[in-house]
Amino acid sequence: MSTPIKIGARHQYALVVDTTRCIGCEACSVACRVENTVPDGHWRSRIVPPTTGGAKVPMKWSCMHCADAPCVRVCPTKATYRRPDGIVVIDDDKCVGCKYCIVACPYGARYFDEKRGVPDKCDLCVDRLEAGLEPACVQTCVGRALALADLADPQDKDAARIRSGEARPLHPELGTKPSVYYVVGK
Amino acid sequence: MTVTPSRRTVLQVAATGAAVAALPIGARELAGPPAASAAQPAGTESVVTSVCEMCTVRCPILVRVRDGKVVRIEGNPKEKSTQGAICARGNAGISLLEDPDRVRTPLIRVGKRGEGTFRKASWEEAYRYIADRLKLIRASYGPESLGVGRRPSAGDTFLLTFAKAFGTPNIFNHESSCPLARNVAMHVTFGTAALAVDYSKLDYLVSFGRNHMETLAVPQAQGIVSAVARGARFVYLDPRRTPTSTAATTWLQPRPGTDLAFALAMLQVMISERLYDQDFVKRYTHGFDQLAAAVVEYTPEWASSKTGIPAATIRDVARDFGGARPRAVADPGWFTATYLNDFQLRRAILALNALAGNLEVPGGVFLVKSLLKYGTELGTWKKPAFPAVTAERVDGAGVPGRFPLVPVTDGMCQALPESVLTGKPYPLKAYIAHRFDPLAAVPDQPRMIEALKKLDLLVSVDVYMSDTGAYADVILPECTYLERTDPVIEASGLAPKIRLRQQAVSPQGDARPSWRIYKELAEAVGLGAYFAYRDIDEVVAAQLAPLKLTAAELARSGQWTPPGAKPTYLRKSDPGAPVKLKTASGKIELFSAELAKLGFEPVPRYTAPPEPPRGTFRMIQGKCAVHTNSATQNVPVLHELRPENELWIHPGPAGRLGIQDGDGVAVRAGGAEQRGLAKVTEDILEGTVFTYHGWGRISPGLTRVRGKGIGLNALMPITTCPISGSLVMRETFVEVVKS
Repeated sequence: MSTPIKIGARHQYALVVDTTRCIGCEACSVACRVENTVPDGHWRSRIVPPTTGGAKVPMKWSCMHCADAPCVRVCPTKATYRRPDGIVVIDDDKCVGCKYCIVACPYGARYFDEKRGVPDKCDLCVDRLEAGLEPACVQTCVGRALALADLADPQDKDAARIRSGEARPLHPELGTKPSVYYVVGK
Repeated sequence: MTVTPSRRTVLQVAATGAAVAALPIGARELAGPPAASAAQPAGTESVVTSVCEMCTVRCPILVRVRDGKVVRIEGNPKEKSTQGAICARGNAGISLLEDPDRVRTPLIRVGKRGEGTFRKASWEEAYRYIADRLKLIRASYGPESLGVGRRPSAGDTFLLTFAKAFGTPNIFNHESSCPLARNVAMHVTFGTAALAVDYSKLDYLVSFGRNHMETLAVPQAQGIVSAVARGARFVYLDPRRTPTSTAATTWLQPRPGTDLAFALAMLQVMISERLYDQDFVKRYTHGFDQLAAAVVEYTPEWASSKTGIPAATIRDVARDFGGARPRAVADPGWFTATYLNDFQLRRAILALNALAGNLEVPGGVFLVKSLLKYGTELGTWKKPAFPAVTAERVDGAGVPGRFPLVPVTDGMCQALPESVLTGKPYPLKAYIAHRFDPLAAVPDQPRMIEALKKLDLLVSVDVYMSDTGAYADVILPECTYLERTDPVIEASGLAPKIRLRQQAVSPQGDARPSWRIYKELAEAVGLGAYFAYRDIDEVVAAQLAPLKLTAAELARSGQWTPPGAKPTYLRKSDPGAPVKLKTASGKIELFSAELAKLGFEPVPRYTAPPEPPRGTFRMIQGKCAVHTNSATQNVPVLHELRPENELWIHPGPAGRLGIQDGDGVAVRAGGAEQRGLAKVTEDILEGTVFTYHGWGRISPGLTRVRGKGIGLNALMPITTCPISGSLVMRETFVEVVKS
């Protein structure tokens, strides 16, 4: 039998997106869509392509798992909460479908799942993590641009990229302390 | 991240899950064939090793099945060149499988051709319908009046066996609309088209429009990304900014169709500055002096006047390329149905590799090490000798005086309309299109439609009602790659390798695998003796018999390499080691006596592409990473990612034409018109417009994509390279107006 990976305060998960290795192929988008049976017309994760005057590289875009998450703050029923290991999740049973969180998210990471009657977003494939597997996007990445980092592990090479400042959050000025970090080339 | 011991163990077990028979992985267990998985308790998940077919690369996959349904497809982590990655298309296999638009029962046409009106039929009725007509056609016009076309695939052998047993030489595939110019150039130069690039180990790559990150082959893209991350330089030439421009260390934007000038100037610099591998050239090449004499005039300054790229840049690239040899590669390319000068461009590119002396060394180019090189090969099922064929091929492939250099295993799919409509050299009367859609793949669509209408019999064997299917008399629903086991696939590279595509779930509706379709059709035509196998398991067993391997052993990890066979570079330890090449000289033919004899340039020389007449744009096309040619635009999830193509046009000309981003535009050429949306962008050169291939679909059976976007085949004429037989698809000029 597989041993579930330890989740809890001893671990602190983050996603590292190395844009120097991302080829913008959207393998991650579809892997996520299928793995999480995301309904037609919605995505938990997409690639924002580079555009003239905009981003110079493709950017994987999904929930930033903020440490100070506006979605958590506005949720009237505490259905959205941040786990001790850093993953921001939604408790369907507590959610009343008010959609405050969708409006509050500055990264536009949430959509409303009509069938479930709750907002939905990336949960870092928490079911896969508990089965000892990497998130679907990380597992399928063609350019090997994605990595799950554990900031609580001093030996973790990907966490080291965050600590050194090589991998940086998007829009830190929003003050939400995101847990998705981007490596951008020179 | 570094994983805790328990986590590492778990990941490794997961990674090799399919290999560790019956070792439970959480709720997952290894599944054998689907018969076994069907008997599993509800809620149990099994993993079937298989091979993707969302494109032609055939990456190894693990198919997760729960309660008889595919729940997920992942890359097989046992494959080092992909490390478990698969692309968006591979991830979307389940969306193809479940697409309500799939044809799930045989259909016989009741309406006019093209209307897409069919009635459901039993397989027996469909076979009888086809067989009756094929017999009549054979009796009236001879067996050669049957043509068959297909996308190369693992199941090819059944259609090919059927065609050969029937007695026709007219067997086509899609290659002349894709890599044929490259393949013929490789045959002429290296004596084989089985020449590959060792991407992950190279230090310098020059790509002449080979758009690796969109025309995506996962092992190649991953190899390049790793090489660049290690410090390799990657120079990419493309008139359009693509994701490959972003991935490259240098992107150069040449005028379209002038890549040959750039390559010739690189040759000139390498030779005049003695940057080439002189020992290699002496030992392994033929005709260096003639090449050197031919390129003297092609200075970087001259090439700059053609390409628009500064001479100093061209000189720098040539010097850096020479400096990085032998781990320097000029990419042979993939889609090469571009310009009339493309064949000589490929010849020049191959010459660059020869001058780099990169053959059979790490980070260079290598000859594919097939099973045959290890003294064995796949077997086949027993069948009688095929009837002798006396008729010449309609397309002239392999025929002296016509297209002697075109391999008869490929042929030229564009020959169909000429044969049917003019009767020259004789008319095809029946056509079977297998996973191949001439209306979506071949230019001059209006003429192709006329030809299809004139056929006595048109059969489409496909997952969808393709555009060609809408004109067919009968559509036979083939099941998807997730619903069938196929013959063993050879996937050799630096070492021999075979893979097995295994059935993961039961076929939906009444869809059948091709091993069964052609066996049963042959029986209906009276050719059953050629298909004397019981089922696919018997075919696979016959293939594996010479290897002393069973299907179960192969299925365990999904792929197999002969014991002891390691990745091999023939010149790694001995730069003078013999390398056998099947050319006339036994060497790399920089000068080709064969080409000279046929009246073609024996060494690459420059010919300029035609220039757009005033008021028109050159129209170029390409592929996007989430679709495969014209095969996947209707697959629901992939359709959502990119539902439509757009016309890329530079802001300069767009402004003059009053076209703003997102406006409707009409694109006109040769009296035809296509409509779509404009994407106004500086990512394309001023005189050129671009759009992705695969849209402008006409089949009523493709409910999502039909009528969307710009169909290029409606606008392009059929132009064929007289040397390689390749189509020429970037020499069409279009008018663009706001609509």
